[in-house]
Amino acid sequence: MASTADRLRAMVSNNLEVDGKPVNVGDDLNVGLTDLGVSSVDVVAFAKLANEEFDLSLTVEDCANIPTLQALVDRIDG
Amino acid sequence: MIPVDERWWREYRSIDDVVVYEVDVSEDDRREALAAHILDEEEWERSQRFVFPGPRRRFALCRSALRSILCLRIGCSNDDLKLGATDQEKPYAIVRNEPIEFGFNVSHSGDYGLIAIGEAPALGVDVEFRRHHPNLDLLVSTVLSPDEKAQIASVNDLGEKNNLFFDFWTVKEAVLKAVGVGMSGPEPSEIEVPREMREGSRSCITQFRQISARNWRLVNLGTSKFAAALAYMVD
Repeated sequence: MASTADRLRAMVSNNLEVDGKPVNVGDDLNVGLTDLGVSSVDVVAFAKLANEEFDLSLTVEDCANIPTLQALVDRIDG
Repeated sequence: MIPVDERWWREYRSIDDVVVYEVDVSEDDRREALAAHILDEEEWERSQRFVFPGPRRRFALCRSALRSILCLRIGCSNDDLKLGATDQEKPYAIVRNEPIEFGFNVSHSGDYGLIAIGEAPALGVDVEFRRHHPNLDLLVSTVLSPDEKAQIASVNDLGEKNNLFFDFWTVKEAVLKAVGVGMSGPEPSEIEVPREMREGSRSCITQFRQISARNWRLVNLGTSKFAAALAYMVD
């Protein structure tokens, strides 16, 4: 089974776009949604998708405040 | 100060005492170099944390335009102006340790940036370039009210569905930004776009009782290229 980090990477690249291009975060997950330049409407979608993919109950505020994608991986795996 | 003919912002609309500026955030090396000199150190570092060039450019061009516009309005130097945001992302400005009393707000998306400045401290603006959103159905089910969902469901054309969604979303986001509670405020689905605006009116006065008993003016600023809305409290 794919790791949480790989599943999150796939979720990001399949669902988030910046300037019409899929967001590819590569190996480094120490980056936040804000630093990626993701719009607020995409943060809303991201929260819903993350909840479905990882069986979480994140609010949009939670997602906006998660400092990095790695912190989200740690939260899921923790 | 940037000469008028070299500025990348211009007055776009004026409604009551609110002035909305359009910011050209398209690629332009010369403008980006000028903008970099207007940002303070903290803003420059913030701009460098953006992973991709597009968001970095939009932030720098809009923030430097905001600084220039505020300095002209207040009559202060760029060095005297300190900009910040609360934890809920409500922007504020301080000049020589005194907070300014009027409202301002910034939004950018794609090649479009908007800055709104007015007397009301509760003032918000939002812009989204028009596009097909890959998660439209999920967003419709999450952020729209039952009446708004029904209106989108009644439309067959996918492009028109996306247009309507972004028209509704920018109104909601402008109101939430004006309130200054960020993502911790009312659910977007609770901020229902008034029926008259959903039926095509470009402006209206309304109330959102879950926020306050005060009246709000909502203005559709959108074009065929972008959806945009302005919201501010009125007496």
